[in-house]
Amino acid sequence: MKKVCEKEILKEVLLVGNPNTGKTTLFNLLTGANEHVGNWHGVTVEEKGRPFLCNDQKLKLVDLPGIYSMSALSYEEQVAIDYLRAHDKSKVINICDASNIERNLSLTLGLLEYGLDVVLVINCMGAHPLCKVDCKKLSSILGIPVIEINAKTGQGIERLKSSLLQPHGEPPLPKYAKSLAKLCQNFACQSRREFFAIKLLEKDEKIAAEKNFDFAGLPSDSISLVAKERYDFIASIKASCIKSSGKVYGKSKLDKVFLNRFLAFPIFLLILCGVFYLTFFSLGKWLSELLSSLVDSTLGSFAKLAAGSLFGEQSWLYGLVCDALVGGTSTVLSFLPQVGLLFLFLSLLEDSGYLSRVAFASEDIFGKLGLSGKSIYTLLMGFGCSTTAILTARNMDDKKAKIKTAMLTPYMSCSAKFPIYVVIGGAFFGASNVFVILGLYLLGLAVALLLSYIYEKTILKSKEQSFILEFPPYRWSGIKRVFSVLWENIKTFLIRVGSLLIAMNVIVWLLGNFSFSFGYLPQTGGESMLESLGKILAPVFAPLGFGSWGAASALVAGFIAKEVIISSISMFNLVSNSGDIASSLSDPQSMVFFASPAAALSFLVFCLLYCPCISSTAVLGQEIGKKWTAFAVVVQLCLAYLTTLFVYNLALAVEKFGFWPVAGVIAVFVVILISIFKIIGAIKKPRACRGCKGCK
Amino acid sequence: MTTLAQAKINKFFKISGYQNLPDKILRRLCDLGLTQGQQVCVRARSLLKKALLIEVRGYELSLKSDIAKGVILE
Repeated sequence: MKKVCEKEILKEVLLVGNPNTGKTTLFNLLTGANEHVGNWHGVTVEEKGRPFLCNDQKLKLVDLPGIYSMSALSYEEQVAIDYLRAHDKSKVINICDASNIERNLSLTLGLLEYGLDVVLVINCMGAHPLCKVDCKKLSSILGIPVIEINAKTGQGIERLKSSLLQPHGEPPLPKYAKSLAKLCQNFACQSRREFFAIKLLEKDEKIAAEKNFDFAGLPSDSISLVAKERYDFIASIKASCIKSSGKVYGKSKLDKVFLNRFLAFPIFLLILCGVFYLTFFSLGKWLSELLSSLVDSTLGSFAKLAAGSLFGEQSWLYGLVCDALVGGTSTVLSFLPQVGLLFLFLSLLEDSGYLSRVAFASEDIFGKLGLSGKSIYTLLMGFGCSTTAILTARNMDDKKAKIKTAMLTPYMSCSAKFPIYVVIGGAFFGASNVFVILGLYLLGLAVALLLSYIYEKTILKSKEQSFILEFPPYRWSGIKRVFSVLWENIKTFLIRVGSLLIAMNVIVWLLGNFSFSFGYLPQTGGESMLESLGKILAPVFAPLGFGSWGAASALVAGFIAKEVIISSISMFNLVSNSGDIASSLSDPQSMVFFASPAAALSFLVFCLLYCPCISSTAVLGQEIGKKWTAFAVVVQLCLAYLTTLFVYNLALAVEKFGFWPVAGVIAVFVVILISIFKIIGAIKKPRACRGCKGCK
Repeated sequence: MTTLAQAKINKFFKISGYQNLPDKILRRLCDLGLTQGQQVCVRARSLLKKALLIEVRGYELSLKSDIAKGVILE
């Protein structure tokens, strides 16, 4: 493909359509981009523009979030509609899924009512689309070009491109528009009167505020009247140029099992456990160990040899290369297979269409917490990376629910926190680390749900959530897609390790090996800069069991990127003790960091709950505002401290008295607490009168 | 009078009207094709019946039961 210059101001082509119709797939196909796609509605949450070559002309294609009509319900829809209205002179590609054409055409009519220059694209992605569309006839009825394509294979793309370059002139209004607009009598408007009149009939609050209009004189059922006109028109189109197979889009026999009232949730948990088991314990672990030994035997020994002969083993440069560049980095690098696998599984889940079913099943719980079933998508993506997951909270249609979902996402253990659990947990808990890790993931989830409940009852009471979600059909990701997802994630991970992590490692290593008078510690002795700084903070963590300067400074460095925690711990342990990091951590001789398993456990809990990395915090600030972000960070720190304090003392108690006595005491406490709440509830509740059937 | 929330599973009903729905929710339902006179059918309910899955105009849609209460069937 010829290189297209990005700086020129290019004519824009907007890509519009219902959610999950393949807009981004077509975008990627036309521009050669690799934007995230998925089988879920609302994967794209902001407009994304990229130049592309349309035959010989340079144009800019803008991918917009999916919409159902020109009235928004959620944030990402508002983004799309605002963009469309601000660029109403641009050409618009309206992509329709051939399998669900009836509803898709309703948006097309909405776009035509607004008078946009539309090219209608019928996307036939599946092998057997459920409907067959007669494009020529449809084109003559609507008065706009209609082109059949396959966004996956690229069939029909050339015709689309040549159609984009042709001038089409003012598109005709749908035939019902004029008579419908007359119903909105006392409304005058210079341009696009029909569109605004219809939107006012639909009682669009935003347009009414814009045009200073009062709904008082409108017929009471005007909303359904407009929709009926549109769908009646679509029915007449359907009769003349659409052949339907009679099958239902999204319907599958699998749903008998996956949507079974009693099985739905257990199946989801089983799938989740399977994903984590494969990623972290069986396949992923094996691959990770393989890579680790490979890196150590090749890169590690090569670096030692090269640096030794270049600088001599006593030089600080030798230490820098071996400990910071190779030692610290390779610890994190060895988790590459596991991170790659986790992202692959998340993407398979997303592609499969199963997540909509999970959202359906979890609406019961999430509805109670003031969230919506759709939150499960954001939270699940949070297991991969909080930064990208927080953006997807735009799916919510209530502002408070969006803030809540975004604030809860960092409590999901992201893939960068996992290495911390494996290395530190592995050193102290050995084989039973499986349960520690499982417990940490569950703790994060429990904290998120509990917080959500508290927010809902106090400061962030959300309005009724709409929860309207269409069901996409089940799809398998092709082998090509699997490789592309793997490659993308491996690339991102390697770039991150290669740039940010190496830079951070060098900084931490230099601070940790030089004193304030710039003497190299192994030669001069004394206290390093990091040690002096860490000692200031360390007493704060002393009640939590890890009051060492190393742990404190690792936590501070971890704010930049969570991977730095594990690489800096491995660097400092290796300074005095060469060898395997896991065995050196638990070696009583070099317990620089954690004095006991209880201290290690409390460190893990703190890592799980305290502030996410700087990029997540920045995205949080951009999405929910500075005030709420500051609040979220304060809550994270306080909550992390208090929970860790509790866990640490609990662990100490278990160490001292054994498991069962402590469990017994806790059980008694829980019983007492529950009965207190029950008693308070009974006192507060007004007593029912005899024979009462409830007050009216 | 039955509403969509109480409708029998796997049986088609005609929509006859709406009640107590906020404008923007009603508008969205209409955009999605739940227009007056349209045939709909409930396909599944979640464990606590807070959400339901319906079939309308050749596709499947899940809805919160509270919204479905606002759709009156014939």
